[in-house]
Amino acid sequence: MLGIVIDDSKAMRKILRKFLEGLDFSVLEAGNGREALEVLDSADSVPELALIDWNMPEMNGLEFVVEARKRPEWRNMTLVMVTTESEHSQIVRALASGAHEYVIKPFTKDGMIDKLALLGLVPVGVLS
Amino acid sequence: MTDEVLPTSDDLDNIAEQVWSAFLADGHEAVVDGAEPVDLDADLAASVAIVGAFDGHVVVTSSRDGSREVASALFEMSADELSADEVGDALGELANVLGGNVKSMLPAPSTMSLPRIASAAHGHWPGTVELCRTVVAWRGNQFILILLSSRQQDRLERVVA
Amino acid sequence: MELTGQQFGYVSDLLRREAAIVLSPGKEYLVESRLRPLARQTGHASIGELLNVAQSPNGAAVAVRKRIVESLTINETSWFRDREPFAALTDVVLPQILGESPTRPVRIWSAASSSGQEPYSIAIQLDKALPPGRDYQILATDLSTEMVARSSAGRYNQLEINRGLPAGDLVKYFQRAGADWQVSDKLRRKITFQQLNLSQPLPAMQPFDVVFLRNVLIYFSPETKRQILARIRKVLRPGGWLQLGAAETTVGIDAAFERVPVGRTAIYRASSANLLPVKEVTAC
Repeated sequence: MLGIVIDDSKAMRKILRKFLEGLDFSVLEAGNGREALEVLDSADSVPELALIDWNMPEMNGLEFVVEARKRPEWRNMTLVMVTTESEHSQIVRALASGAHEYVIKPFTKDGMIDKLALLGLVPVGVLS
Repeated sequence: MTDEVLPTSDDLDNIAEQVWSAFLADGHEAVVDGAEPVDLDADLAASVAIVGAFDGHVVVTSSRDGSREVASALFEMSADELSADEVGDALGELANVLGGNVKSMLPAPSTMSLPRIASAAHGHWPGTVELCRTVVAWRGNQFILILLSSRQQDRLERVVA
Repeated sequence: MELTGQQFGYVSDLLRREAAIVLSPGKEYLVESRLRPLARQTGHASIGELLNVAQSPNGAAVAVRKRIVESLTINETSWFRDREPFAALTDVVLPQILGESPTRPVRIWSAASSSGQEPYSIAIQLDKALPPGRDYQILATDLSTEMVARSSAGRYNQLEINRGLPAGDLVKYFQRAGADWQVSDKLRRKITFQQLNLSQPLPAMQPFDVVFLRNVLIYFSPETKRQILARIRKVLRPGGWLQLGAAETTVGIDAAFERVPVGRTAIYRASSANLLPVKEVTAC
């Protein structure tokens, strides 16, 4: 499966990349929402999963989600926010704008696996 | 005077414990205790600025070694393979995650800046007062987590008290 | 890192003495997986070192033994654990209950409720699946008074809330409380929390439609298992449902439960007839 990690922090991109590769994903990266749109437009196939930070320069995660949901060809890409924004109203906003799921930082590997399992994206046999 | 509730050092302890156990759980215990005597030669300071209903900063300071350990754990690489950039980036992400959690306990709405990393000698935040702090001891290094406020009302209170 | 026979024997004895729980051989992996993090947390270099301290005559040993017992008796804490039992609630169990009895409150017992994720997950499921005006009541019990207090408070930190709880449920059923999240009163009102020891006779109870008894029978001897299942059968309505853990079964232990396959797993149903004990048959 293919995933894309969208976060302005190199450290976070690396953590998420390693995590997804451990679940047999190939991984694309982008440092902000605008770059992510470019990466996705030039990719060979549509990722099944996007892990998206909120606070990024140029185009933030919420703006990216809104854009992504306008694209019928990206309909099957599951959009998961991964962010420190943890206010109730912010989570509501993200879900209302089209994010499918929401992970609050800090997260553990087990917690991420649980979330991906909820979305049917974890291969059978992965224990948490 | 409003009766808003601001985070205390117990809250910082709670947040630091969660962040360390999620991102930096490598079998080495993190001891979080604001009362621990500080023995830190801080080299680096990473901070995020908060603007809005609350104005201030959340700062993490550490030694260069400590930051390298954080980067090593986050990147899952050995310390000598890391570039200065990566070390700064890791500490910045730590400030980002700690700051984001602290922000959720501050008066809303406010926005948080991207993290800024500076050498500790050059890191200062004029016109601010310290509201609370805690110390994390991990892998033989200390990390100091500080909440600063630049709001008039917090500065005045400090003067009176 | 492997447990020696002597080490495993010590832990088994300890668990039997302190918690009336039997660890059969073959459960070494379980002991290792629980004691390894405990050894780390308490600053011991290995499980062996931890166990040495536990067996030593000095005062610290008591606290260490207590923690060893706790670490082997707590359940994993995630929301909607294993998912399928909760789906089964909505897809199979509730339609049957609602079909049979249109008005009375649905009653469910979470019999090893630990830190509370199970009873609150059940409440969320019921809140979504029951028609408006249809009431429900949940009893949540645990052996540990600490756990009962914890789960009654309904307060969870960020890491706990990230374990298997859909974000939509988070915003609908929880509110922020400092750095933590608190279950809404709407759900908490429906749950009664109580301390209860399953290996003892049960207090008087109104019958239940469903009992969740997940991942706790594993720790009891076959005889105690039989007794517990018999007690639970008595408080289940005829045709009532029993939910066990993913790897557990009543087959071979209690014939009064019928195994009903659901998806990749199964739930158990108390037979509708009240079974009479089989008497000795005398020739006529």
